[in-house]
Amino acid sequence: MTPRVLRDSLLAAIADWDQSGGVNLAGDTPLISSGRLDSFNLLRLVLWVEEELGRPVDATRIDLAAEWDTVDQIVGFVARHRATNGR
Amino acid sequence: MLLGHRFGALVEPATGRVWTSAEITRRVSTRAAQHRAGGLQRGDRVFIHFGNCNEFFVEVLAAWRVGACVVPIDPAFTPFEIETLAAWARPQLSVWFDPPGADSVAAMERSGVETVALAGLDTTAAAEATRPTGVHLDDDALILFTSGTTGDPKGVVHTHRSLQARWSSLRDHLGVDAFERTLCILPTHFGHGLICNSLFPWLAGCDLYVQPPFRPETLVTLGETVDEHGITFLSSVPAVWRLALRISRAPTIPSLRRVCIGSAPLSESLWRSVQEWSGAPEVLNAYGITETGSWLAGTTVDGFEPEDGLVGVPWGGVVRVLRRGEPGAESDPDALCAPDELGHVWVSTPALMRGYLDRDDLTEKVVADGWFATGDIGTLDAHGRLYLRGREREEINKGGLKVYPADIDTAIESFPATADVCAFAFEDLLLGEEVGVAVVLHDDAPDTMRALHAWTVERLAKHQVPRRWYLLSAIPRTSRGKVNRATVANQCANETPLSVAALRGTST
Repeated sequence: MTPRVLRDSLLAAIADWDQSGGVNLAGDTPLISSGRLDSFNLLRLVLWVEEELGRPVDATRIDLAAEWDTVDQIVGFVARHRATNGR
Repeated sequence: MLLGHRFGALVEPATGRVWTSAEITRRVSTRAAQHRAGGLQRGDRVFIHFGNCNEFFVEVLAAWRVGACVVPIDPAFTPFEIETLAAWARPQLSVWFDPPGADSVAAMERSGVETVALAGLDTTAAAEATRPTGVHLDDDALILFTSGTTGDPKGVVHTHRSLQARWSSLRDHLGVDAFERTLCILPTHFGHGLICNSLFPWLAGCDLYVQPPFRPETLVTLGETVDEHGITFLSSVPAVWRLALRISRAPTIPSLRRVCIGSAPLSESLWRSVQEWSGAPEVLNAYGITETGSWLAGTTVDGFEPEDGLVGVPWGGVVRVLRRGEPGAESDPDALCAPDELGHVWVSTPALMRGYLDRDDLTEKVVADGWFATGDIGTLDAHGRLYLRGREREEINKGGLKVYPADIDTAIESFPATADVCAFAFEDLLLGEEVGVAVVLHDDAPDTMRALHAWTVERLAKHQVPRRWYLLSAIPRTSRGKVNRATVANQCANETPLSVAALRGTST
């Protein structure tokens, strides 16, 4: 999956999770620091990343508000970790 | 305070604000004096539209000081829902933290309710210490609305006597030592979060640490918060624990002495994971219902091993499992189930609610001769340990928050183009259950569907808005014309839900 497809997939997923339909949602929209994602949707995000990577993520070792605050950051995280995973 | 309580300090870890008991006493006196000056009297009702902060607890005590009854309102409720509740409960005062929006002000004005925002008041002005107004134990103390926010509200009324009974039974069965520094991460408009997690320890002299509920940062930093403040007790619901275990490091200092999990079914595996994460000597599955003042039983049994559905023994009450769930069963000796026989869970407790506010019809359906039909299905084993196996009543347990399908039906039925509607639960990996709805429209044009969605969002709190929408040609009904929500859910499971983008008229 290309980064663009991954990005669109995550944008669509978030639009569904927060029932916003994608209103005011872009690649650089703050998700965690702004409070847009509630705690339950944050867990959906963790599971989404794990699904994309095909392996568990130890989220307790990640500063989520700093490293996963936007769709673009999350897509970058997935791309980097896929690369290190040999995919 | 009202009846001899000696409360502890209030601490907000997120803001760093610490209020000592002396400061709280002063603020309560100030607010009580303001209430008196404003004409608030014994028996009046006060809506409090915010929670999970120090000011909330001062408002509770100040209202009680003048003999008023506290009605915590979910801050997520829409102006439509607030107006519905105000029309039913007829409060004398509506207290907000920040000035409310114009829609909310208008809603309260239509109900003839005075609105006050703390932001516009001097809540620290010196006031003479005042003695409580002559409050009686049987006066109403607290009303918690559990459903009916779009139609006929169901408000659980607790008196000072029933609350005292709950707290006394918890003190007898759990003591207060483990609650020395209690953390609340649950909403304070929620029976579990307010009565047991917050008011019980705080009014027993323990310090209460209050965090915003369901916020990612609260859970991301949970382990750090426990360590930094030496938290000894906290409680939450299974869905929150599933997230906390994933995103928060475990505490590194063994301060937690007891942890409670409640408000939704607890699996053995999650139970063991919380034991491991918390390091607490006691991790309890607590069972409670708003009508019983929340926690009425839990796993305070020696040497137990976590099991699916295991609750444990009652705390200050009697639990029976009967073959029937309707009034009359409680006095029928033949209705008593044998050990391990599945039946309806009934409880008798001095902490039982006075009843549903102005709904004797509803109260009589569940209360008979001091016994309360909980609506839960379970078993008692030969040792008197309760196991929960299911729920007979219509409610959707969304991560511990209860959503009532009838509330959703009522909101959607009132849309002019709705021909039929049925809300239902569907399984959700994270929350346990989520809200789905099937609708039949007189006119199923895309614009109509979008208008219905907007109509619903305007009338329901965010957590009540259906996550999946199905447009059907007819809602399946029984030969008697009744709707079986499970049947509708099964039919919809084979259909494709409408996309949120289609409902909102957007694209991603």
